[in-house]
Amino acid sequence: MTLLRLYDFAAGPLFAFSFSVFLLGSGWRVLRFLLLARAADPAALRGFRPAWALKSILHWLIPANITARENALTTAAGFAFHLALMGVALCFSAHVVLVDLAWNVSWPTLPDEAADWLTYLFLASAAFLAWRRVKLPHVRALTTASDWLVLALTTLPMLTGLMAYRQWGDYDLMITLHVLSGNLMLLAVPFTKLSHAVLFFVSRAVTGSDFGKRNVGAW
Amino acid sequence: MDLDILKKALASRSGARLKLWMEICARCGLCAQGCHFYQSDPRPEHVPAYRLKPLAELMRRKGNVDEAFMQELVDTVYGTCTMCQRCSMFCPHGINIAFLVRATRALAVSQGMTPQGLASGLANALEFGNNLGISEEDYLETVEWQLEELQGEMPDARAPMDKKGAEVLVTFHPRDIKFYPQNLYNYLKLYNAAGIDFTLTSSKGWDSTNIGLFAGDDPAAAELAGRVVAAGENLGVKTILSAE
Amino acid sequence: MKMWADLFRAGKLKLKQHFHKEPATFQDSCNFIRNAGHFEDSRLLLRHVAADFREMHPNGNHTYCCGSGGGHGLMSEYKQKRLATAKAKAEAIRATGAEIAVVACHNCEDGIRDGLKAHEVPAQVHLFSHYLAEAVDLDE
Repeated sequence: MTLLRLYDFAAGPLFAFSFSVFLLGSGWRVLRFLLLARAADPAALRGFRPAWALKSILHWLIPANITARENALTTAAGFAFHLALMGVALCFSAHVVLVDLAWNVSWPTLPDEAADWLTYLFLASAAFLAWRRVKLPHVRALTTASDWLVLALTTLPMLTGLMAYRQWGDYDLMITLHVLSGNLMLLAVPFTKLSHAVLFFVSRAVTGSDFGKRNVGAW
Repeated sequence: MDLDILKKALASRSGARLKLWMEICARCGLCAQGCHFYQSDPRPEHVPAYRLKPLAELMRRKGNVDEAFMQELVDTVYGTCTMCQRCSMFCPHGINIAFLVRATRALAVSQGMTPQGLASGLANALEFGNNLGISEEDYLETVEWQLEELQGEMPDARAPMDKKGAEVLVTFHPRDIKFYPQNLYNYLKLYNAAGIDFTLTSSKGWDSTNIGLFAGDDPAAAELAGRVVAAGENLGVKTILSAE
Repeated sequence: MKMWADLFRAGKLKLKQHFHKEPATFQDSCNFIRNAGHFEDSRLLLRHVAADFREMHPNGNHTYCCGSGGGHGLMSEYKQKRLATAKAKAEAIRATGAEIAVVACHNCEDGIRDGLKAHEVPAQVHLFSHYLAEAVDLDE
């Protein structure tokens, strides 16, 4: 019974809190960058090249860049990882129903079977990325504890979600763990390198603009 | 080691870009493909992202590091990077690692730990106006000599010195003057053949190379760049042609 | 480089077409190409004066560094590493079969020359200005 009460708390007030932290924290990270940039050089923002920034973002949102060509496997794993994570988080039917119940807004959902396969795809690509960190000497040398932490933070909600949906193990436990780890992931975004969820766009825009000033595309 | 100066240097370098990039590097290692150090000799310490390690550690310790740490930092950011920016082309996040390497080099500079070769080049540049320590006389004589040579092939060739109001100010790399005067001949031949309204400068601004930038020594870099700009402004030219 | 290309386009700088007969390749320097975007300008001039111009791979914005940038030309303390890691560039030049490697930067000149020597690639290094100046058409 206490488990279910914990679930209710985690899916209710805790989620509202985590989601707010996620939104406000991520917004703050972007704002902080802009403030710092302006403090250092008020003219820096005026020299910004939006067209080049946009091109830079697009060349990496669709894999049209040198790394996609020379490192196709890792690129594929990276895309599968991110698309599956966002696809399932945003469009899994149970998630959309919860949002609909709470806030009365709704959007199209993925067929459950598709969400199932996306989750397997996610776990496979997460396993591949973990394998790279262990097996490739040059990636192993770079890896820090925080890299493992964020990989775990993103993998846990997916894994427990799958286990709950498939009713592997104790359902009540799994669904509670699922909601708790989902909260944890959202909370971590502004404070870890998961902030690249928003800062990716900032960084690509900055570099795209910097290189664009010299008529060179950074891809 | 002066930790106060190091901490100040770190603070002055910790701008928007540095913070952004140090925080989002995913340490995915995809930049390895981008580096000629790694492609020639695939060792972990030749991965571009590896060059951020000393800076990351220094930031974590808030500048409280010892000399051995700094020596290792110097060997990493001076010894294993040419700041060519190729890795930025391969980084999914578009992290400009060369920018971070330059910032890290500035920390070494703040402790007077610039590698000897660079340090003496920089000292020469600041004192004599060029990194090879060429005197003004030698410079002027070399220009004269190569112009005479060129006039054998192109009788109308000119090399105006300090001509006010010319369109273009032409500057040089000191090695052209000291070791390869033939290069000077070729430049003058091209400028004359194209019929450009150009001038040279006898001020210290004739050397447009900037070792201060390599060294990560900002005040020195600004001083060197300022001389070239001043030479251009004094002569009222529209364009300054840099040597490299 | 941009200036020469502009002058050439405007017809002010006259260069003999295909003046250089030997197979040649070009080092896209980080300063001129990756940091300045002069790729098209360089090719316009090179393809005009060279009868047998060969691209090395990778080239353009993805070119390998000559190895001598970032102060490496002056830091003798890291010279052995510089020579060893010039391999990627030296092999790229070897693969073109070029007899002349044209460079547009003084750092590259040293970097490429040392790299070719260390990895025994039989090619000469010529400065871009030298390469163009030789092809200047003085008759008109």
